[in-house]
Amino acid sequence: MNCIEVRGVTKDYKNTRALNNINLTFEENKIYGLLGRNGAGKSTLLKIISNRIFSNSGSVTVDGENAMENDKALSKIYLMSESNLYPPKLKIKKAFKWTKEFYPDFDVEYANRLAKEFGLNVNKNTRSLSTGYNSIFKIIIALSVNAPYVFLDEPVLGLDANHRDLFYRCLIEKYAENPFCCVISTHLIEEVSTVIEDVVIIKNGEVIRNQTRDSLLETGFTISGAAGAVDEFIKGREVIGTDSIGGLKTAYVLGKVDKNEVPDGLEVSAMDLQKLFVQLTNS
Amino acid sequence: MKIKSMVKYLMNDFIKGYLGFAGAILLVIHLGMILAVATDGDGMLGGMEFSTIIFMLIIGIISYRENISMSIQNGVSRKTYFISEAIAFVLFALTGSCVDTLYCVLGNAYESIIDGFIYDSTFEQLFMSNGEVPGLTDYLKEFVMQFSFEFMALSVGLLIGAVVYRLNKVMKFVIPAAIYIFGFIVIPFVDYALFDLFITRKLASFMNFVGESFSHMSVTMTIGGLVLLAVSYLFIRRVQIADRK
Repeated sequence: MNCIEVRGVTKDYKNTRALNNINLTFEENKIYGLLGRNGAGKSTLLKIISNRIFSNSGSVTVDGENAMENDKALSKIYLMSESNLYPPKLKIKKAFKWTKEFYPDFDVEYANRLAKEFGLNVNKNTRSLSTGYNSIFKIIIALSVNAPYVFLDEPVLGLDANHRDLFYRCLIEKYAENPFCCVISTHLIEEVSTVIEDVVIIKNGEVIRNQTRDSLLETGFTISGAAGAVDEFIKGREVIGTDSIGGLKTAYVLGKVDKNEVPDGLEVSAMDLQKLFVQLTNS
Repeated sequence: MKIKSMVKYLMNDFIKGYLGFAGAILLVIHLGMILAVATDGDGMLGGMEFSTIIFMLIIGIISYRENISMSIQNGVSRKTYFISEAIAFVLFALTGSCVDTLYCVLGNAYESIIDGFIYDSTFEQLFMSNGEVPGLTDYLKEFVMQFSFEFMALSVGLLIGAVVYRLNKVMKFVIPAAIYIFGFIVIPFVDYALFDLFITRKLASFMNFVGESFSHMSVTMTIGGLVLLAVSYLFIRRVQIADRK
């Protein structure tokens, strides 16, 4: 099976451990959500996979080949990062041209079409773009590159609601037409939750969850009601967080619940991905 | 495949800058000639090729940051980037020395038809006697010497660019200061106080050897360029790509 395998990757920055023994597999033709709080290590992981920085230990393989300093493996990966590595004076239309040179499957026609849809002037140079249009420029390249593995690090940074909506639509259309492995690292969990199939959650440099979105959502529920009744009900259960307002309490609980055993006055609801993420990564 | 693409990209980037520079030099040659004609007096233009060497040095220094970032963004390994850069440097130096030699031919042609206008290239100033008219062999030597100088300048530029890229803000000041202090204060003092100027004498005799002939100079510059290129790879092979907002 074609995939990117991350094995035992550890990365230290001076005295800080950014990633600690990360083991992950990104399978082909799947959309992943890479979630984590600020400084959790998401961008560091993506940079190691794409050979921008080196890990202290561990390895990354792309379809069985070591990715480190390997042109063949690296040509299967495209990372759209928060940082813009294109020359500031490079015009956008030239950036399309040169991307085609390095990634022969890059679809220039599709990129120009997307530029029109997003309202991006291809005669501008990358330096003159606003934060939002800088993201749009990189999104367009990422969607047109047709590489088997595309990593999007904060793709919607600075985008307004209309452009975000357009981006998700284009991503889904592109994926439906020509499936590829797409890893989206973002803080806007609610927006991305309908797009992703699998979820990887990183906390303090370690993977704490790596499973399908549906199975992850099934693992938690929210119980709310009078504080005393809630406390009674959650006894012996794996509670990952609580909120209290006055005499009311909401508890976020991992595990399954039989609705028949829920006492009157308590309300059970499914946890959405964002709530689950917040509770899992709190503290 | 990636080497070909990378060389193509580097050449394209270089040509854009070089065309403007070469145009400016051509303008200077013509201005010098017009001035000589207009003033009806002595007008001398010489060592114009030296500006190309400076241009190549600057190109080597400033292009590194952008080019390494662009290559990594496009799935090119550091090793492939380095090989492409080395190939591109040979092509840059060939282009630059070819144009400089042509300018020299042009300058000498003007010199022969315009009274009071003298054009002397660096090669003529160093290795030919006053008033001697250069022949085909001299132009060929000029081309080879200029190539070696430009290749050396590009290599020095790449090395500086690669070293500076890896330094943090503090070290960007500390290292040049340390080089200056060691190179121009500590070593000369130690040499004077302990070795009775042995290092200075050896350095002077080496410089004499290099400047002795066209072949010594060209071979030394080419070897120096290759050595510096190899040294710069040590700074490129494990470089971590810095974020740029």
